[in-house]
Amino acid sequence: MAHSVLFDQAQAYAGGNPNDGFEFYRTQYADPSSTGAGAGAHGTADEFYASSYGTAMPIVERSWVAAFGTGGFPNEQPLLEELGVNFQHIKSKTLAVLNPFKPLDTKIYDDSDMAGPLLFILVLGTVLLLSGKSQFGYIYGVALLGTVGIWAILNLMSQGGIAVTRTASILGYCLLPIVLLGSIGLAADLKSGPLGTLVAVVPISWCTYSSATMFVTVLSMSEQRLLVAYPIGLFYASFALLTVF
Amino acid sequence: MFAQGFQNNHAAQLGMQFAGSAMHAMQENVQQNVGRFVSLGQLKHHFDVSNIYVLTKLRMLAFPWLQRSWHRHAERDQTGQVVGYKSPREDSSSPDLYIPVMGMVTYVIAIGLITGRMGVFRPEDLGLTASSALGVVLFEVLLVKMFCYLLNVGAELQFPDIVAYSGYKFVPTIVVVLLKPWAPWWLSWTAYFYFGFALAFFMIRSMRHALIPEESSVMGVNVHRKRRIHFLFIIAMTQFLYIWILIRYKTPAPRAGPAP
Repeated sequence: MAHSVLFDQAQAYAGGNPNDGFEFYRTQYADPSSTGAGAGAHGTADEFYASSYGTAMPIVERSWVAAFGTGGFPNEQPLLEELGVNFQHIKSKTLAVLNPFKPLDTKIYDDSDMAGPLLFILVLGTVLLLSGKSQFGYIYGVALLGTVGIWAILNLMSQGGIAVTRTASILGYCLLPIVLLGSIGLAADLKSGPLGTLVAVVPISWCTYSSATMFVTVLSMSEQRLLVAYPIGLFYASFALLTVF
Repeated sequence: MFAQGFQNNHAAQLGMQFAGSAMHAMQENVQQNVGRFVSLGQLKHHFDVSNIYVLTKLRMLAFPWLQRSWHRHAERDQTGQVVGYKSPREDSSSPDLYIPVMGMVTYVIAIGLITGRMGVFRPEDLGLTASSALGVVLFEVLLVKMFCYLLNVGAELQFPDIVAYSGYKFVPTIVVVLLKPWAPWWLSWTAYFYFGFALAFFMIRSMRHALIPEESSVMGVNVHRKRRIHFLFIIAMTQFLYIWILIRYKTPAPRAGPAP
């Protein structure tokens, strides 16, 4: 039995053993031959945990194969729901960015999920890698610093506040046009000539417009639209700098 | 699921209590030390700007002689007592922190744009430029703070106001640095001197009311009026030096190619 210095208890639980809090260290389950002997004692452990934790998963007898598939445990949430990934919302948020002139439904921004933004950042990094610039670290740094900066500015300028995860989510979704700029950069040479700089203005303004619209709607700061849009424009301009040059 | 273990283990309970009180003490320490310099309310006051304010301020920086009144209006509470200054939204002469912060970030991006068009952009240069810009501001703020201490300037010139006045220099710097690679040399030098003098004038007029009290309000306190005037003049003239430091950027090694 695995011993742990801090939590080795002398007291006896009702039907449990001292290491019931550590499913990972439940070594006696590893051996399927012990199921018969252990079933009696652990049956009451199930009730103990189910009663004390409400909707917690009962600790049931399964073979170790159950860990590698779904449907192994009763009352288990579907994987995507447990991870918080909602494909409908991701799709509608992405379409909202691609078509910024359609009126917004702000309720979908209440779940500040990071799946979409992380995907876009990875795609941007991959596109830059394909054009010869391995700059994942810089993208990460600019994104982090810029998000914290925008969060600070928005909280200082608005009456109500906004959570940092929510700003990160909105800023990340609106990064999509910069990804498109990067893919244009795969085909054409954006660095030299004025073409690159002029072409970059369109995605920056697109990102800024959709992002500022979302923030102004969420924070209800309608008379400060331009003041909110400017720092967001600077944020996307720094991404454009990384992408173009 | 650890709760059962914690409740029955006294060592663990002591540990949790210690950790909780340690976090609390740390938070209080930070609040005390940082709160001495700026408070959140003060910061919010400086970010309470409107579109008109930003446009007026930019006009004041570019054409300071057009501005008639530089006097900062005082905020009064119900009994008529003066409790501070009016926010930037209501008073165009009040310093804010929005323009300096935006100015600094725009400056960093402008330098990035210039080095990019010259073909020598590296992403770490963004961080280097930001650090040197921050260093210039820090140097100036410390210098002004030192002068304030030596000349016994107390609450007339607050710390966020010093940072704000120090940050306004980025606006003319951006104009000059964007002209430098692409305009003929005489135009960029003219712009440098014109905006330098405009910024000096702006600083003198803005800080005058804070630093140099009216004759009638001096009451037996030795305010070294002449020294304060000199100090104000020094602050204004060093703006030239700061702008000159800030408009330097990396140029590509000379080679026989077409100019950007």
